[in-house]
Amino acid sequence: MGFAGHSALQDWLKRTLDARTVEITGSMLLSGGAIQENWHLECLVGGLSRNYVLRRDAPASVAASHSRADEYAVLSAAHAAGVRVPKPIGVCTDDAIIGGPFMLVEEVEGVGYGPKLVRDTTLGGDREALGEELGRQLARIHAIEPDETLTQILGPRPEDPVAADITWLRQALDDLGLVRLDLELALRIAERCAPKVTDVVVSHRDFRTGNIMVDETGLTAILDWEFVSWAEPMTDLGWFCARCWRFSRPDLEGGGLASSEAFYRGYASESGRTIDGQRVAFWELMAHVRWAVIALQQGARHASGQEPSLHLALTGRMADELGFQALKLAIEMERGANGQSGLGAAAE
Amino acid sequence: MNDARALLAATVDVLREDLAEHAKGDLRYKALLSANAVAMAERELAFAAQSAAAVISGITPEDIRGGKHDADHELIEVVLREAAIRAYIANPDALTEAEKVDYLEVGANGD
Repeated sequence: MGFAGHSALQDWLKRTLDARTVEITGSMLLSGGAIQENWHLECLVGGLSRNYVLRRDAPASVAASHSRADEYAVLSAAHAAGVRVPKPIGVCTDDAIIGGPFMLVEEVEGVGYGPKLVRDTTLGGDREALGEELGRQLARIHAIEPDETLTQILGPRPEDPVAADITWLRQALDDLGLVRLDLELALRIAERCAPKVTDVVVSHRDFRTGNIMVDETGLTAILDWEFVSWAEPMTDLGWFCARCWRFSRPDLEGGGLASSEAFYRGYASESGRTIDGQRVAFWELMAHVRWAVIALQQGARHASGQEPSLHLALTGRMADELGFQALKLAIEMERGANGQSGLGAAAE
Repeated sequence: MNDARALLAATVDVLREDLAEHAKGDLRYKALLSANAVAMAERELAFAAQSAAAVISGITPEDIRGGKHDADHELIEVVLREAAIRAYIANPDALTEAEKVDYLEVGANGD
């Protein structure tokens, strides 16, 4: 099913764009997006050709993600703060239009598929410059001062976001009814080695290769604002640099695209913050646990019969690889804290 | 290799070499996805006997969260070994060559 000629959506677009006429001439479901569906819409607005992306929930969504209305408010705040995002057009919470809430943004040209971005060096322009630019963009996100709407969405600023994350991850495992000793041990070690939090900022929480768009010259957009929340600033840096998001270039710590130095340089120059490598390493460990838990949630959508899908089942199995990496990182971190050396030190 | 594993291995070959090679777009993607799933099931059968699940079956998340096992280096080693096997079953490339030697008793090919 597509949206070409969809009269209720055309009427909504007409009102939202304040246009004399709107005709949806074509639509296509874009690939990716296990949590949300993204539709490419080709329109004639007052006779002029315009392309948009319509975003709505997939049949089952992950508990931690925002509603479309909240995501739209967050995207609008980022747009106002000068972050490179697709221009927000409108949001609709009236189920009568297309059967559920959705948001609409201007379509941005570029490639977003993570493994392709990492592999195809004709994309993204100069990769070190891209890494720096991504650092600067992240710093702009962290500088967002929430207005009343955003404050309501984000809730109170937590005093200890590390503890909040660990609690959320444990609760998510309990909700899944799974005993995962690899993740439990990694989390416990993380808890014991956790850095003291001195700063809490608006954070993207899914800032990584795969959620950015680039063309041949460089960055065109930062996508997927559904997990935005308060966090310690290095949380996003750890997620971006975590090995699990470097795809086929584990040697390039800046998301498989650039050196971590370039990424850090861009972030530090825009934010004025000093990068604490140990703190980033802590969040890289947490990134592996968090991605493992989200993978398990996706696998559960298949296993429960809620949404039978081999793709979801295999995503769930990624938690095994992530759990192994997380436990290795945790052991290394504990060893570092105790001044030991060698992975086997934990057993000595 | 036992019969069940041989059947699964043969199925992987058909999916990868006969079907995926001649399919395009979504069908090719589905053939490769299915080949991955069957290969994973085959590896899981290969390592079934090596699981340490029985050794760690009495350990609860609550005990770990409460700090009861903070100094239990033996537990960490057992869980790490179990995690390595599961990681290998999910994706053989998840382990370095040295880790395969360290953690996989039955060899890197699961034979």
